[in-house]
Amino acid sequence: MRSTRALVMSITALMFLAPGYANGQRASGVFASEQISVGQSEYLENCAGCHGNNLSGGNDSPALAGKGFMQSWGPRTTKALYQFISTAMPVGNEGNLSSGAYADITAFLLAANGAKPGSQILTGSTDVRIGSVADGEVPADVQKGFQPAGAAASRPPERHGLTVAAMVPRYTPVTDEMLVHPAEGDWLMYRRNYQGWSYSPLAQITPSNVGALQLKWSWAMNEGGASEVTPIVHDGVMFLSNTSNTVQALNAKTGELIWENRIGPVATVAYGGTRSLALYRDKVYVATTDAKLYALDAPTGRVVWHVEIAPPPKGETGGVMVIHGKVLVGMMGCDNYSTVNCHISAYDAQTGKPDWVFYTTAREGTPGGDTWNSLPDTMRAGTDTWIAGTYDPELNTTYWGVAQAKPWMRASRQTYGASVLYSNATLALDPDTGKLKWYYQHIPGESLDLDEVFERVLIDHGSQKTLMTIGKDGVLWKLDRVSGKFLGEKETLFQNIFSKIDAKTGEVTYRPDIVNQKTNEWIASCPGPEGGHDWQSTSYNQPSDLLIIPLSQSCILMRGHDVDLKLGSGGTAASELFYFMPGTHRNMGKLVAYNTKDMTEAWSFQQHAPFLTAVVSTGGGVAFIGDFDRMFKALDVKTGRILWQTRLGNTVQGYPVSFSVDGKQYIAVTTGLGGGSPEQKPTTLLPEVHRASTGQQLYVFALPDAG
Amino acid sequence: MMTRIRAPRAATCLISAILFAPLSAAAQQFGGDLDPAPHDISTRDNVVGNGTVHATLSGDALHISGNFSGLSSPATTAHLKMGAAMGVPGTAISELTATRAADGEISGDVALDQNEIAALNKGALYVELDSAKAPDGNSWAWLENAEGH
Repeated sequence: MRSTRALVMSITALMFLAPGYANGQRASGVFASEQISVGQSEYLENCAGCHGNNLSGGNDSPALAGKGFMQSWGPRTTKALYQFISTAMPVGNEGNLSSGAYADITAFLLAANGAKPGSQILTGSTDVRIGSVADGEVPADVQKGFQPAGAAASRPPERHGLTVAAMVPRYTPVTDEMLVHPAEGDWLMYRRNYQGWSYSPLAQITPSNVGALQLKWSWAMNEGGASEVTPIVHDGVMFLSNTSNTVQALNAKTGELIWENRIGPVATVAYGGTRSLALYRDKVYVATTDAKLYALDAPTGRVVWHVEIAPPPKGETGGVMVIHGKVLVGMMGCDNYSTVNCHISAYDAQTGKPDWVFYTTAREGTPGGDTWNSLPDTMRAGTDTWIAGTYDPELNTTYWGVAQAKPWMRASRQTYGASVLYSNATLALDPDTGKLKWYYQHIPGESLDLDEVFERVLIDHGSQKTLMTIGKDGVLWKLDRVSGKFLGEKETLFQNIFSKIDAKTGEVTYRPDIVNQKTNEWIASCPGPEGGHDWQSTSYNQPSDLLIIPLSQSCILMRGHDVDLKLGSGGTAASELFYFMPGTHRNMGKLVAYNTKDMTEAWSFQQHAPFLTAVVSTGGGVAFIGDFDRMFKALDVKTGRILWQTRLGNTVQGYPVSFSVDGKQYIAVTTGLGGGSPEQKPTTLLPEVHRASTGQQLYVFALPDAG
Repeated sequence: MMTRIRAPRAATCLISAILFAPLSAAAQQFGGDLDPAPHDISTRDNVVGNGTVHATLSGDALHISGNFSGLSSPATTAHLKMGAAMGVPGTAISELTATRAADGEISGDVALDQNEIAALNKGALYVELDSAKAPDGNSWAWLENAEGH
């Protein structure tokens, strides 16, 4: 293993010393040539999962080579770069590499931006303006991307496949009828029902007895990767989408492992957890982080079929849903310019045969294709669908939210005032054909990483069929889900992005400096990309007609980079600075409940730590939520009053669920890392909140057993 | 029989003016927490500190007072600034006085024009405190109307 690594390092060092790497290089080096190869190995081991093998960036992770990097870091110093990565990186294991490793990574990044090695060793105290030694000329081999040979060699062997084989006893196939009318004790899909309520009718746990909750069992999950999971429960069996694309079946009453399939690949990315599985008939479906869709035999865990949703580096995190025997799946990883635009696709649930595709990027020559300022399809990035959709069986319509365009800022992506369909829109699709019934674009031409991608919650009031959703801007929207007509909006927290939201039409007017933005200028946004609202989904408590919404209160300054319009470029292409939302007394967490009929606020409260889980509410009138500071809380649905809380091992992160086995109600919740912006921003803003670098875990609570 | 005496209209107006003058010219109170200025994780340790700022508007005269503590380097300057909206950084209107230490006080008196008064009333004025380690902003306090604060 050592010899392999040494060979890789030597080859790398030679590559960087080769004449081609000297092109465009500037002053004499501030790092030694041997630091490049070591730094490259460290980079591939710790950084490439997010920033890419070619340093091109992805998701929330900026490019680390080229024009954007130099615009962000050229005026700053090597010391500042070292300080930044040694404090903030790698995500989930911040500050835990050796000082030498951080220095070597810094050297590697300088070399990848055209800096020339010299004789001195770069350390954390080396203090030279980066623009004086690097010019952003990316060596050809860096552009091509490195193979993570060194990283793979340094890891323990990984087992894949069906690593624990057994049979779920008496498995009951999941029917279409069960999906429409789930059994009270089951949690069969992402938000439990097709309407996306995150509501369990179970009523054994109530405000009067919730204080007696106790831990019944726990399960250690894989470390590494992002954990934002929804446990799926059917007939006393829990199907868990563990990190590293591992699927497990557990006895939901005892926590006993029944089977395990380590599909892989092993997570190297601190973003993009698989949020959910789906069940249908005798199969469990998982869309993996490398954009493949697998059907496993639910009783045994063996792979029945798998298909590729899109080629790498595309991925999938939102989870899948099954409608009429078709598996519907979204896509993410569309940050960089490529020949494949983001899309939603459907597959035959029995065979995996591809059925239909709907491009969430309106492409040239198609309806809406003229909304991208004449950019070619290959330069239309983003519009990911990283949250699973919802479905109205009566209207036979599935509803999906679409994320923002990339690069984040309109000046960077050169779309300026264009609306860039179908970014930040609600899509209403026919699940049988994939045809668009209607769309409503909430914030056209958005440019501050303010997704409107989250859950579309379907709520009826008499004959009025509505859809409610809320995005990072914190605006709660109500639409007529038959026609897509705007019905109303509420600003759930302070925002300074829109100078006006038309109460009749919902049309937004951006603050003038947002409209007139230029690259390399700081633009403010309250709330910022943490949200407002993010992936921590709402709960619609039907008995009380309350929509309970987790919110975060932080702001950013964002500075867009110049971006080359060429394949592989693009990305998020912006720098960020963070600050507390004015007037919140540093309370980043806010929970608010709205009466959905008239959109009036029922109650709200704030706390220092933001919430990192979805809300689940129950027929017993209790809601559950977890936070960044490890607290898992139960509160009264009607008042918001905290009824019970306990502190867990790490940030309480994921999608809590409620289920029952043998007549007993359980609450399951996970702790985890890799929560994306909702975890990243408080990591910077709340240094007094200390968290462990491990601790991905599943906890299951219930009331004490009788007698 | 009681005779009702009607005061002359001018006198009524005068009395009313005297009675209500203090109310109509009542000073407005504003305030906010001194929070860390925009930063990333590499500059976070340079922008620590706590404090509060109070402001009283009487006519066009804004009196500012505040305190701060726990800065990681001595305060250098303080300014009253105006942004396009609350939370949107802007430009300086006036310099304030700040103790040149890690703990201290901020004070100042500023005559505002109508545009600046309007900005104050919509929350777009803020006090920025600079320090040796954070010369472009260590802390800021957005001034909110005390009734809504």
